[in-house]
Amino acid sequence: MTKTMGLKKPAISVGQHSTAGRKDRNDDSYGVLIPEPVLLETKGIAMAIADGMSSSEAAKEASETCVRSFLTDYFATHQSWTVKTSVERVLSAVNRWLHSQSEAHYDSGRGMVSTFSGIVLKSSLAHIFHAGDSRIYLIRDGAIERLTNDHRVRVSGKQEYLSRAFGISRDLAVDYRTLPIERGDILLFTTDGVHDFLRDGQMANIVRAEPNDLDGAAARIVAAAFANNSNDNLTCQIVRIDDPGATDQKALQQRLSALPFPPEISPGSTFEGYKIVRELHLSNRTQVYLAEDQETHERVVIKTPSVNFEDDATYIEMFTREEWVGQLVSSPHVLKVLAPKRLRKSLYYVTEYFEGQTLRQWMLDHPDRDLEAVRGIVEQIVKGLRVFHRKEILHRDLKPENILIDRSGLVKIIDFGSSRVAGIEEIASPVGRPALLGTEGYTAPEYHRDVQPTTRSDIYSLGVIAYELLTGQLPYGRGFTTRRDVDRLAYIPATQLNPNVPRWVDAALAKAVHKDPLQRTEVLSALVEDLRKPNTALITNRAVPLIERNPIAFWKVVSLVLAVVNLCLLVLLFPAR
Amino acid sequence: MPETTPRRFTLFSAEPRIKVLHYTWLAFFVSFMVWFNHAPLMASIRTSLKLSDQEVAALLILNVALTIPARIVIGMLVDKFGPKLMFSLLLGVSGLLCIPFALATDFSTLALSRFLLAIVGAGFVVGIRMIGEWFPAKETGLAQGIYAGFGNFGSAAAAVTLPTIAALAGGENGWRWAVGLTGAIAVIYAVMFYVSVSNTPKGSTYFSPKKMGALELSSRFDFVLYVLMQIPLVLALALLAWKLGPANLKLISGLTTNLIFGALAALFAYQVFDAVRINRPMLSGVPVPPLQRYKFQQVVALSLAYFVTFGSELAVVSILPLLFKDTFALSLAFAGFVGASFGFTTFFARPAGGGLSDHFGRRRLMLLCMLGTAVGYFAMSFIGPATGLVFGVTVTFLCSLFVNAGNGAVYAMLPLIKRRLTGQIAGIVGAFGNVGGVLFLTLYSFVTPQTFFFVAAGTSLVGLALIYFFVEEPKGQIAEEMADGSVTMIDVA
Repeated sequence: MTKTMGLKKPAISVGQHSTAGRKDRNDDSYGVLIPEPVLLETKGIAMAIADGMSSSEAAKEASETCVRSFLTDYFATHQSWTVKTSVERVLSAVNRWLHSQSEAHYDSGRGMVSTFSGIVLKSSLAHIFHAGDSRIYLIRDGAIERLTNDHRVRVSGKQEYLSRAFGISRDLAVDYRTLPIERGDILLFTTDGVHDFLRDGQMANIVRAEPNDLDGAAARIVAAAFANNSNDNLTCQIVRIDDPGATDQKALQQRLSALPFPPEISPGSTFEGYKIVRELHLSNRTQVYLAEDQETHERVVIKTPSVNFEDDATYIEMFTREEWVGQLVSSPHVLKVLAPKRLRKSLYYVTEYFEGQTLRQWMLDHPDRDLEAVRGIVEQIVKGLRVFHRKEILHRDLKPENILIDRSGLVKIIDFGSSRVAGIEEIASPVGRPALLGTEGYTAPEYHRDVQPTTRSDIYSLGVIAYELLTGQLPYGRGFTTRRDVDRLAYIPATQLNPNVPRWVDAALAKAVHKDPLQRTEVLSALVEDLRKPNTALITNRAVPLIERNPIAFWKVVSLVLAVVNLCLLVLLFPAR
Repeated sequence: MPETTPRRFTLFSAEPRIKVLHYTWLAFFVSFMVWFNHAPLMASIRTSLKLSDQEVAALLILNVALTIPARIVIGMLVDKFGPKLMFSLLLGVSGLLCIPFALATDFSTLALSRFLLAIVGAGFVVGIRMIGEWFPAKETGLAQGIYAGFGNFGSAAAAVTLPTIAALAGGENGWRWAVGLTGAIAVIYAVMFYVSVSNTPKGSTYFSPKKMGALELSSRFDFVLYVLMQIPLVLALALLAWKLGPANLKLISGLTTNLIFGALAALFAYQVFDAVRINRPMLSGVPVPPLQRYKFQQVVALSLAYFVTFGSELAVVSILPLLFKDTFALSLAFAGFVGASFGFTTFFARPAGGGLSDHFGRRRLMLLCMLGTAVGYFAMSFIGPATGLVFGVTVTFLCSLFVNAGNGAVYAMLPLIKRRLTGQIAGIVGAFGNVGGVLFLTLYSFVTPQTFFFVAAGTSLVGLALIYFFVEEPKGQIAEEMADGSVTMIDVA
């Protein structure tokens, strides 16, 4: 497994043993899943143990559901999700299902209940999820340490109940922690039939005695617990970490440089099964061509990396990520990246051909834009952007140049090279990520402060675009280039630049481009709604004082009043003799 | 799909990037004009201020000295402030510095303003950055060739026009008007440049620039070479300080000289420290990944080639008008005109050098250029009243063809050493060009023109040998499209 190219994926050895013991049937479930190589790199390895409650009628089904869902559904979750988010979603689905089954079929709150302890091992890190009284231990350098807490309450004397487990209630708190894992670490999964009847040290000794026969060690632990009069099901699963999956610089470089950069392509030539029709856009970072698939005669767009960056690993990673993001996000309002049909021999990717112009060009061609047209565009961008956000992806570089619009008014978001995908930020990568400064004028102020960007940062960019569509200007006059700019520049009401913009629309824009992300429009739908109908909370709450509405007039009035007062004082203090 | 880039590269186009190219080469042109506005007027300046030959030589050296450290500083400032502001500032400041030079009544004012004016020679780095931002990869070579070639032409333009302008202004102080005029042009153009160009194409995404610092190296041997390469940079400045000091020109005091030596030693120490800091993982035994490895000896060989070609060009352009005037007893204007025959060819020879190397083989073209340079300088050593003016102009012209094509060939090769580090490598190679200028001009102050050209021919032969032994035809992994649509790997040779 370690021979595969790329990020060095984790490698493990497994030993398992489970028996019903002194009971009629075995309600314990357990398992380990090492996925195919692509998933192994992005998702890691999953391992789990579960103990169906003996008092429940479908205990076995409950524990099996927990383990099976965890092992399979986790790998079906979106590649771009973080481990925590993926597992959280899988487990809450499992819990709700178990709970609903109990209520529907068994008329009792205890119908399908199970403990669960699971680990996802990815990039040298163990992500531990736990609810109930099954346990996970870590044996490192001969010392044993328990990684989970038992969720039990002692009612009286020997009476103990599970305080937390799957299927008990509709909402469930699952313990989550992460732990750096090293080569040679041993993870020990047990159910209460084992660990209630053996001391931790005894288990560690047995494992240590059988370093190369993990199945044997698991069987001996179970046997020892059984010998100590265990009256429950007994399950022991041992996982030894042969390679924690640390990122390997050399391997990564090899993977990144595996595909050579394409040669210079000229219109009329053929390139990997495509006939190049013409150049669409050349920049110092990429080349974009219009091409025709020689098999299907379908018109497509080919994007190739610029030879300027042929030895720049960071650039190559961003280029490949752009293609991936394009495949993850599917919406009529996002430019579709086509899945490769043939094995590629050089680095490039293919997108659908969308015959439109950039929103920048469209703005120049349509100087008189009415509010309804702007709404239509913003709402389409929102639809596209929402798909990004649902997959926990931030676009991070929304601007009129990255939005296309065709004759019929269909709008599509393009260029995902700057996007941030929550799931892959976790893969420990030796390649430094460049500090993205985005595009002046459109990136949110938090990029200049060391604040983690959120979906609201994309809302900011969209707010700027909406503002520009209505006024032709940027909401703060110009973009923020420094932190000082952020403090200094003030919002210019859209009503000042375009008297046709209603006050309430300006209020919606002002909230969408608020400098403070916490006070900004929270969700995309709110922006759409606020642009559709007056949001009373935004306007009536606060009548704009004169000093903000028209500072010059305010100070003129103040000066005049002061002058009059001074005159009066003069007259009063020095009365005419 | 947006169609914002035209299909053809044409200089007569209203495309934004072509506009930027024109503005940028013109900025470089003006900077070169200011940089060499003294050379064709030197005869007048010499008479007007009654300068000795040694003082004239010192002025010429001073003009290229500060350029060496300025290139590094300007390079870092461009990262921070962008090429638009930096080129405008550079032109504006140097334009203003022309005023004290034009008004000088003694040698020290002249020397100090010339010394400071040397920073204008760092303009090259700024413009190269601008071109890199605006042009796609397949056009950068040509765009940079046009930029450098047309820009370098500024020295020839100065040589042709300034003596005439001085003559028109008349009298002993004509040169002051000519110098002042170039300063005014520089200041006005600085403003024009600032309002007319932008750092990047409109709406392009901005990435934080790479940090400039010591170069990333691939092996300990390369590290030693790199440290050795820093010595000449410091030594050239030390040589200048010595030349100005009590031992020779007595322009600065012994204490000042020693202070400068101390500062240079500190600079050297800092550069070594910085190199250790950047390369610590490699030095402590962590192997450099294959993708990031390259041979530093290629940088050394190209630096020395540029040392010869650009260094000698700087020297020859500075001395030629005066040489022709003194040798053939020409008028100032006519001497300037024939003196310009050297800088004149840069206009086409430099872009041609870059373009030819793509077809002819980079290494082979460089060898040819060095050989031509050696022969050319050897021939120039025979320039004298005996061989006549026609011979002088002809050999100058032919020699400059090879020198300028050589400059172009060196710069065409730089990106192929290590694409990612091109900016830094260009900085080192460029600095060596300036070191060459200092050393050649210092040499000129000690020997006869005949010996000077003879030595220049000799160093060209050394450069030839270095290229022959140490420069490899660059190998690149670029996928080449075959007729059947399959791709094979070929070397870019």
